[in-house]
Amino acid sequence: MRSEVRTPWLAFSIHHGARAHDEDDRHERGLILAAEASLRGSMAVLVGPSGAGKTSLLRSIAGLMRPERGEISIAGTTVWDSARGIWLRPAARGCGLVTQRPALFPAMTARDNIAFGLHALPREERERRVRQMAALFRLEAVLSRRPAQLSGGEQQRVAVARTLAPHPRVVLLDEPFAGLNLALKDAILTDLESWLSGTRTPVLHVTHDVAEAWRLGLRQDAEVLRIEGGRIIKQGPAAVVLVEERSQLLRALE
Amino acid sequence: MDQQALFLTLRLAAVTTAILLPLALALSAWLARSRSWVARLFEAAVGLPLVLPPTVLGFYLLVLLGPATPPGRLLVRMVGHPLAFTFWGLVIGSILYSLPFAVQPVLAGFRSIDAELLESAELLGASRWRTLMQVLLPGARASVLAAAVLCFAHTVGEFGVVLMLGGSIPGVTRTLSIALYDQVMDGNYAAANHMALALVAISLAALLVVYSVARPGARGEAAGA
Repeated sequence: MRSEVRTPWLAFSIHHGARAHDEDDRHERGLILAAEASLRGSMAVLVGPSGAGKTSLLRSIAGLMRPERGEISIAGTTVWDSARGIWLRPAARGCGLVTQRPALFPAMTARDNIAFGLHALPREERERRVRQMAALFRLEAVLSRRPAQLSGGEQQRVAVARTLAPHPRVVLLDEPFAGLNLALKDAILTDLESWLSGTRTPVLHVTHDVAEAWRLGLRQDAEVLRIEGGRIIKQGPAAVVLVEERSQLLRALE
Repeated sequence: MDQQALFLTLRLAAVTTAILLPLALALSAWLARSRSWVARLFEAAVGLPLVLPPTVLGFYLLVLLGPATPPGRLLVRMVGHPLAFTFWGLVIGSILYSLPFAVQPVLAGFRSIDAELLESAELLGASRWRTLMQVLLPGARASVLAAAVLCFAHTVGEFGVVLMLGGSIPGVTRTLSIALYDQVMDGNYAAANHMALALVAISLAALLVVYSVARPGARGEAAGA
């Protein structure tokens, strides 16, 4: 298969025990991760129940959390290797992370939020990127507003635009649209996917919702990873990984 | 009313606040972020002036700033004269004395800022300086204002450190609280009363400002979501 010879855009082997090395991250206490995978398809869906370690895995990849041992490489670059003592800070990893809460900078306008990660670029390029993002996510009319003056959907669109504007090498989505209604969610997802495929940016999508994993996993070149108790227990096309859940869903419909 | 003492007191408080506030911001940004035991030790040490008698602080500063110790001698050589019994000696004393009043509100303000905002800034490549200026400071505006006012008011009201370190030189180190003490010692209760009233008025005004900016709803620090 063609996909087998490509360099994985993301490869990780993350081991984190329950021993208290994580006093500093209260919500990560008691966490166990023993997850290994290589991702080659342009889109991957990580699905598992809450508490399975999805968020911790994503935070480890982004560099917001340091697990006990293992290694992570992004697009062929080692960003962390506990054995060799390599640790790249989050900004140097090129991960764009969008979480469930938009976490916009409250004192800044939508425009300044989107431009926040473009600090190092020349002014014209900065403005061009903001215009491009605003057009893509239909935010032109609200660029001068502050987060408090935006609707929930607009806030989340600004958050996505802010993450994509610096052109991250990979995009990590931690259920960012969970709080939105289905129509809004689909609209944002469509805009997002058109940009991702246009720029050939791979994406790792996290969800606890099997139906959503199924929907996302059906896209061409997508692979689904099932996580349970901190382990990746299955990896492959949606039709293989989610076969049990699919028949359960179908039975429920009968 | 001793105008000279009043102006000296206000000048001392203003200079102290102007120097202490940036110091407190930098220190708090570090303390809020670092998890090392050195930071915890510093955080505890910042609170020392709250529990120590001001005379202890004044005594050690008197010794340290004078020619009796190596750092004191170094300072004397650098400045050309001992700092004890000078205005700038008082400034140094006041900075240490008011340190907890500047650091603790700012630190609490920084710690109340949504951790996800700081992570976003980190992921988007913001330097520490930019995170301080664009995320921490705007998010903790009310706390920083409260710290500035408390620091000013606390310096206006200091007595023990000034007494130990400054003596009572008119126009140089005789602040309102010292002048008040001198008046009482001389039996001039009317003059003492004027000064005491001035101190009460300044302190009350300061606390009014602090409580009005710290009132829930009046704060400019709503979270992002």
